Amino acid sequence: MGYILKTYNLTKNFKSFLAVKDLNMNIKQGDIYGFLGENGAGKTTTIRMIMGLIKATSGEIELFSEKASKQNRNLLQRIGSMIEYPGFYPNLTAGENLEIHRRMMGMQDKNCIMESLKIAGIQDVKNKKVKEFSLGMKQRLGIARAILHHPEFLILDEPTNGLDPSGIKEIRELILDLCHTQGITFLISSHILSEIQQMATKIGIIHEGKLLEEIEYDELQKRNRHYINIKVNDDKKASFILEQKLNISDYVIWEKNNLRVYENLEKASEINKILVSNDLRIDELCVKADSLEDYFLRLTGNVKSVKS
Amino acid sequence: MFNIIYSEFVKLKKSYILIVALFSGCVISGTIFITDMLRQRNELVSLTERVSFLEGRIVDIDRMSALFIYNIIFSLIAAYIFSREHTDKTANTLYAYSAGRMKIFFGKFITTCALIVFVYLIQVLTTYLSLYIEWGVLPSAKFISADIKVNICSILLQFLLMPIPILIANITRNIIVPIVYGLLGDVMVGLLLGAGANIYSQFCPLTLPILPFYHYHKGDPIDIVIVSGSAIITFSVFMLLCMYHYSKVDID
Amino acid sequence: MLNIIYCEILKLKKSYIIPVAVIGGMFMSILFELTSLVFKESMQTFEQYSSNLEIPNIVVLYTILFSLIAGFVFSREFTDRTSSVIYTYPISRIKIFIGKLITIDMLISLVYLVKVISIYFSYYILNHMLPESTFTMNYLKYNIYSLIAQFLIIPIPILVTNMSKNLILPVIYGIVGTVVTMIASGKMFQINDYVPLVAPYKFIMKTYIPNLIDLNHSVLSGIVCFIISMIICIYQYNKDDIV
Repeated sequence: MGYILKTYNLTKNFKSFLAVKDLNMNIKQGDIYGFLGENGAGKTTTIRMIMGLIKATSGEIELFSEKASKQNRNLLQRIGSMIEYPGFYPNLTAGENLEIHRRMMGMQDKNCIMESLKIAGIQDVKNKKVKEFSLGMKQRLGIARAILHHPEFLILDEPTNGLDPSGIKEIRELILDLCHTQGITFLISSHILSEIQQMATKIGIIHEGKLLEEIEYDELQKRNRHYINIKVNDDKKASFILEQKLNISDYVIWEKNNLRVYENLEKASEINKILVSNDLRIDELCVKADSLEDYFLRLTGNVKSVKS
Repeated sequence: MFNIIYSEFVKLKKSYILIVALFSGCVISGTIFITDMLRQRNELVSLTERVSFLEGRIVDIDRMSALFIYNIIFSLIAAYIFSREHTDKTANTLYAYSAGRMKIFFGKFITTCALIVFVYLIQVLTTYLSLYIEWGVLPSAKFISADIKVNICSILLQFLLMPIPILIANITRNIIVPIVYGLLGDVMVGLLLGAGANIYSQFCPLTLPILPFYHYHKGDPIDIVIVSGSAIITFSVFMLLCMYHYSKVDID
Repeated sequence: MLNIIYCEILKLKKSYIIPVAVIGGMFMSILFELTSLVFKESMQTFEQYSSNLEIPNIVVLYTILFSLIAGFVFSREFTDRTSSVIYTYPISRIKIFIGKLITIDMLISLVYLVKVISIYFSYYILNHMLPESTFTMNYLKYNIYSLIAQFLIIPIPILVTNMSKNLILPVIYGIVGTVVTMIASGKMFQINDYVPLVAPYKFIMKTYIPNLIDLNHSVLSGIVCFIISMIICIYQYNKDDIV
């Protein structure tokens, strides 16, 4: 399987502000790439550079093994995108907005409009003006537009914005279905880590313009650390006991009265016994694994702990 | 109320509209200044000739500004202040404040009027400054005081017309239609007043702000009854419509 | 290219701009018709009637109206937030630019067409007669030249719109253009002949005072203006980041 997208030291400098620095992204065919980052990390800027909306200060972009440039605009025919909040012509109906997209993409088959509306679940509002749409309906229409021309690569920037829980589930199932049945490759940027966790095959974490990590999701799960989660009534006393009596140093006070111990996982019962014998109340003690959120927060340096 | 007006002015900070207002005050006087400099008029030597010419020039600049520029610019300003809440999608926030819609409406109306005063002020200042730089003299104090009075009358009459573009902007929620209204209004006024302030032109409310220039400087007769009636009816009708529409319309 | 132009025209459907163009074309005719009926003016020749209509149209109305039209067609992609879509199509930006330019030219042509029809129609209603065919041919010929001159100067408000990404500055340009046209359409300076904004006016006036109007300088200034402004427009359109 070849690479759909490769970037080489992609950098974007907006006058005094370095938005993206030396980004090296690799997306294989069939991947669902979860592009994670805080607000202002550089996700949308990266996506805009890939789509040719803004010119990179330096670096290269390779799409479908060809160098992306102004001369290669036909590569964009193989890409569908929904960048930030999807914009439409408010005086036109949903069908008319998609008709414009169909013609501009050079699609001959007029039935593709109804097909894409059905896939997005808004076939009933084809003749309704977009200015009367709710945010969720506009989001679905944006997805319908992105898939209308049967792209090989779909770039979705926050696709579940404004959707209700059933809508979020539908979009997730749609993405998984399109990936498995049609082999479409996805680049999805999102803040909702739980959503990415349920569908991504590869994760890229961007922070302050730099791609900190790019990792297969299976590899991430292996790497994610297990720990003993302990809820007590006095975290300071508990931390003293762990250090002095059990010689445990690899732990964090995750929240008030909630500790996470990353070593001696096989000695959970001993830890329990010693804490209880020192007049501590144990509300919870179990072995858990780091979630994607934990991994993300640790990597971006946003771990909230008194001691790590 | 003060907070509302202050907020409206803060919203104008670093927007185009202040530059537009500044520019529109200078455009006619600046253009006349440049054309006069290029023509190098040397034949007016005596002081009385110069003062007389200057006074005529000032009247022309005032009249041309009011005839050709102000209708469009003030429609643009009014439309911008009222419709930007919809184009910037801040309407959901603004109309959810505890301050009533009427207070917000009057805050915006006062801001629009303040910008109109600003434009007139810039125009008067640049006119006198440019003519002083060019000719080295100023007109008589009597003329200057009359000119200021005439401009104040014109400003007050502009205030009476403002509900029209405001209503258009509120209904259409964009700036295109108010600009077209301003443009067509300008054309209509230009045609009606082309031969001076005749009796028929005084029926049209759009000519109201320009009538003081014709009456005081050119001596054209004004029927006070027609003019007052036109002013009061226009203002009352459109202001009531504006207020009714503003308080009743759904913000979506 | 046909698809691009079709899409641009489809986008104008149910927008304000087409009614604005139609009203702009017929407004003066209606106004004159009404004033003629009210003042019961004695019969004018078609030459007098049409020149009274053409001059305020060209000098006062059209510069701002066409700047507004050009501003709307280009700036709406930014105000409607569709720029992230339109500039990601597999179509070069130059093609999109040319498509929009052709759409604007079509709207300007619509204004001229409505104007000519409304002048003839309003004159017929007032006087129950039509002008001679020789004058009509000449009139139509110079209107077409004036229309082409409008096409030559339209890249200027397009450039202003693309740089500002809103409608306000093109309108300001329109106002400045109107003032410049008003001054330059007089006979104060030799340099008037070289001002490209006056070219449409001069072509129209050639219908009425053929011996006094020299069009050579207008043609030259119009062409030079078009070439320079198009080069700058296309360069700016290609280089600009769409944020």
